[in-house]
Amino acid sequence: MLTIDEITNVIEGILFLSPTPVKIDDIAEHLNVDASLVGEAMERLRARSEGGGLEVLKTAGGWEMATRSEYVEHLRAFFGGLDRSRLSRASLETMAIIAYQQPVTRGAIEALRGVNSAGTIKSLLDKGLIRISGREDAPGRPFLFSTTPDFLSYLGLDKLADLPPLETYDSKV
Amino acid sequence: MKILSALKLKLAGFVGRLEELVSAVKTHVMDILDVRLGDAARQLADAARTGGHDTMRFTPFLSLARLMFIKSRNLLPGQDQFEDTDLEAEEVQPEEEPTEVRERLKKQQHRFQEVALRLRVLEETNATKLRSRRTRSEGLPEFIDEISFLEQATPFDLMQTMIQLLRMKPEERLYRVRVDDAKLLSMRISEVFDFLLARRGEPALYSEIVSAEARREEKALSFLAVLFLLNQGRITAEQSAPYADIEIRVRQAEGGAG
Repeated sequence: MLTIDEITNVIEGILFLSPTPVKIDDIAEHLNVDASLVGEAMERLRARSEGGGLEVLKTAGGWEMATRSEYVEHLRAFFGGLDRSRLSRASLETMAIIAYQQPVTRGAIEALRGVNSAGTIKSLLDKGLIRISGREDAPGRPFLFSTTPDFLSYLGLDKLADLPPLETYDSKV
Repeated sequence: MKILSALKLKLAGFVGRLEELVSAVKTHVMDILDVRLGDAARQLADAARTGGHDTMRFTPFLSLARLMFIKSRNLLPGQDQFEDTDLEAEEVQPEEEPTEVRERLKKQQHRFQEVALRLRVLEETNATKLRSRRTRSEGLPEFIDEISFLEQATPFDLMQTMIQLLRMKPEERLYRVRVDDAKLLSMRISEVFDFLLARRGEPALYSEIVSAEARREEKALSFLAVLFLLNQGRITAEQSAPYADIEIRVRQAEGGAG
């Protein structure tokens, strides 16, 4: 039986190596321990990483390790090429519509944006930020688009409910 | 050849000869993005095999290649994938709406434009938290290895398919889009990108990436991988003089934005 310290250390290793956020239930199942114990170990790991170069984040329904923001320039300078390209304004708007209105058809997106959005939808599909989640029961049975877990990861969010509330902007328009 | 020319393709939303399909696409009667080219290729290949024909010599395959070219052009990411572009560059919907509807839509558009700015802040904040996987091939599109999914394929899948078509022997099945038995283009792209990242901003020579000893297929694979990364804006390539070796390096993002 693993001690809480050992579980914490194993979790640290898992998060360090995992290419995607890891769920507490998956770790608990793998270690054959109670999920609440893994949750406690995760909090310990989080506390232990305070003041270190890495931090433990809750993203896309799981947990992952990332470098602290304050050191990003040093890391970019050391490695080179770590900067990622930003999404275009068109892609962000399209992604916002899909995030808040999902599942949504291309037609509905274009109606909201007022412009042809085929290229931006294709680009978001390629990036894995959105997916085809079904077809609308309407003439032509158009594809419905929804966001993916990678969308949450991309923005550093845990769940869709963490998105900025859309209602906030009602008062402005 | 006549057999193939007379072949009626049976696709979702279309039944007819390949020439008719090409014509429908060229005249915009059909959207090329709705055409399942993988199904068309399979039907042509089956017909060619059944008839015992040498597929390399058939004009229908050239027609199919033309359709693939049109589709690849349609699927190519726009410039806006890498940097901000004016929305004016996009095609404005021609439909006229009543004033009320237009006003409501305008408000909704404004609302989503505003929230997109908030998402930009989240995007930039999160980009300062680096994950180990992001030192590798983050963001590169995943490739589809089955020709049956060709309707969703990227231009580079189509290039792979073209290579497959050119290399295809009558006895071979068409459905695998492997360039060789061991390696997929997506794997080679990751390898090349990781190799360049390891240089930490220093250039690598093209000859280092594509060794002279490599087999022809491997050279083609590496060449396509370099082309793909150039197309994605991930790397830059410079040649100081004609016939000189090409210097390739990972592109630094402009403006330091995450």
